[in-house]
Formats: sequence, C-alpha cells, structure tokens
Amino acid sequence: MERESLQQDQEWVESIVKKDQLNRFNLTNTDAPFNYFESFPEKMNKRIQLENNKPKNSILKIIFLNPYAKIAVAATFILILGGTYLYNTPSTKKAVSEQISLQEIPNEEIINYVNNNESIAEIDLDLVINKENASLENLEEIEIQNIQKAIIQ
Amino acid sequence: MSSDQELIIQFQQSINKEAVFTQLVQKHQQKVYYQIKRMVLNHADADDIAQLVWIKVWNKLDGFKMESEFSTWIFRIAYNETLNFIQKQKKQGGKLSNDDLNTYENASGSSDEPKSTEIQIALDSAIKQLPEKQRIVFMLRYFDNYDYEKIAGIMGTTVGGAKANFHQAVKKIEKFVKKL
Repeated sequence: MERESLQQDQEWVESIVKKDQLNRFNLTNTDAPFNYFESFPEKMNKRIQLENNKPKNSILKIIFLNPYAKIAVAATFILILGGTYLYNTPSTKKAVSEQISLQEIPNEEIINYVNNNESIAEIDLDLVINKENASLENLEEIEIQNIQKAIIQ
Repeated sequence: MSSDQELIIQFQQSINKEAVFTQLVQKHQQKVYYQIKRMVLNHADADDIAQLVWIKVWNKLDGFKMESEFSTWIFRIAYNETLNFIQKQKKQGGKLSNDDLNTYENASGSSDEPKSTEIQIALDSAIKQLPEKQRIVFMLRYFDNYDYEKIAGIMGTTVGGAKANFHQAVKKIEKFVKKL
C-alpha cells in the first residue's frame, strides 16, 4: 500500500520535472569534498575527546547563560549595593546615633535636668517620659504647645 | 557490520565507547550529512551542523531507549539542529549561501540543450525556495523513498502533516516550472 503510494508520489513529481533533472539536482546537493567521509569519524572522535575534557557547566555558567537569571542576579546585586550604601550614608548614621543617644539617657538624668530648670519643672514630664519609646523627638505638637504654655505661665 | 541495536547496547554497556561510536558514525554519517546539506546547501555549514548532531548523539546515547529506530532518532536530531541553524542565520540577517546557478550549466556540459539547463536552474530555484519543512519532506520522500510515518517521526509531526507538506511542495515546484 505504502509502496504504491510512494510510486504514485514519485510519478506525480516526474510528470512535472524529468527524472534525470531531479537526479542531477540530487547529485549536485549530495556531494562532499574528497575523503570527507573517511576522515570524519576520526575528526568526531577528537572533537568528542575535547568535549569530554571540557569542565561541566557550573551553576554560575548556567545563570549567566540565561537572560532572565542574568537580570535577577543583577537586580539582587544592585539592591544589596544600594541598601548598603543608603544604610551607611552619614545622615542616616547621624540620625540613628541621635536616636540611640536620646533613648540611652536614663529617666533620672532627665528628671534631674528638669528639676534644675524651674521653668520646666512644673510640667508633668513623668507622663511624657514614661511613655513607650519616650524621646524628645516623639513629643507631639500639642504636648510641645502645653510645655510652651507652662513656661509662659 | 552489527545492527544499530547491537551497537547501541554495546555503547551503553561498554567502557570503550569511542570504538562503538565510531562504528555508528561510519554507518550513518553519509545520510546525516546529505540530509543536512540538502537543507543548508553548503559544505562548511553542513559539516558544522553534522558535528553538532554527532556530539548530541554521543551525549544522549546512554539514555536512548530504542523506542524508535536509531536512524529516525538521529535524523530528527539532524533536522532540529539544521532548523535551529537556519533560524539563527535568518535572525542574523544572513543568507544561506546558494550554489552558483552556473554550476548546472558547467556540470551539464555543452551537449545539453539550453532548454534543459533552464529547467534545471528552475528546478534548483524552486526547491531552494520551498519552506524548510516542505523542502525536507520532498527530499526524504522523493530521493530517500521514506514512508510518511518515518518522515513524520523525523519532523515531529503527524503523517497527515507530512503528506500535506509533500503535496504543497510538489504544487509549488509545478507552479514554478510552468512559468517557463
């Protein structure tokens, strides 16, 4: 059945183009340089030995061959670098160190300071100081206004 | 010479794989090369692709389960490698180097009638202008006498798809030749 079908297909082609022309086309496109096939197996063996001696693909190599992995690695690197830079800038360092120093002042010292300064003594600082995360920076505007009023009085 | 199956088993079990592999190369190299060359029409490219094909065979042969014929498997690798090569060439804007059409005039000699050379050139151009899939189906069917099942296996398509490609190829050749 398949034989017949093959013959039919070939006859169809040969009804369009002469068989010898088709054969000539085939010959022209199926030639190879002299001794090519004699030397090819040896050439392949050498090439395969070279391939075998090549180091296997490392994870790094795979990452750098994949464009998406390249972008992800680059983005991570930039984030780490940028984050480190921002964290270590002088202004951030200063702000952090100020925050730490205010937090580190013991309540007693603040109370002593207030007691030694009469104008502020009347303010009930205990409420402010004993608040959670108490620090001068955390005073709200209304509280500041209260302090100012107390000073004026 | 041993059958493909025997050679593959020997390869998979042997320590001296190179010797067995050489036998497989010797047995199939010509058909692989010609299949590639008919697609790229150039020896240097065909040689490069053929080497890539055999390296792939070397790397994957240990895992070959003989569910299909070895020849179908290797022709499929050759087909895919060739398509990849052609697509890369197209992306790079390069053209496949076609043999000079004068080859036919020189090869045919002075005894040939001019009309014959003209048809030969037209046939050459017609086949070269076919889309890759149609060209390879035409070659495998007409010149290599492969059945459609094997062609479909090589191309990773259906038998119907392979038949359709062959018919379209012949129609296009007919149209091209009739223009003369």
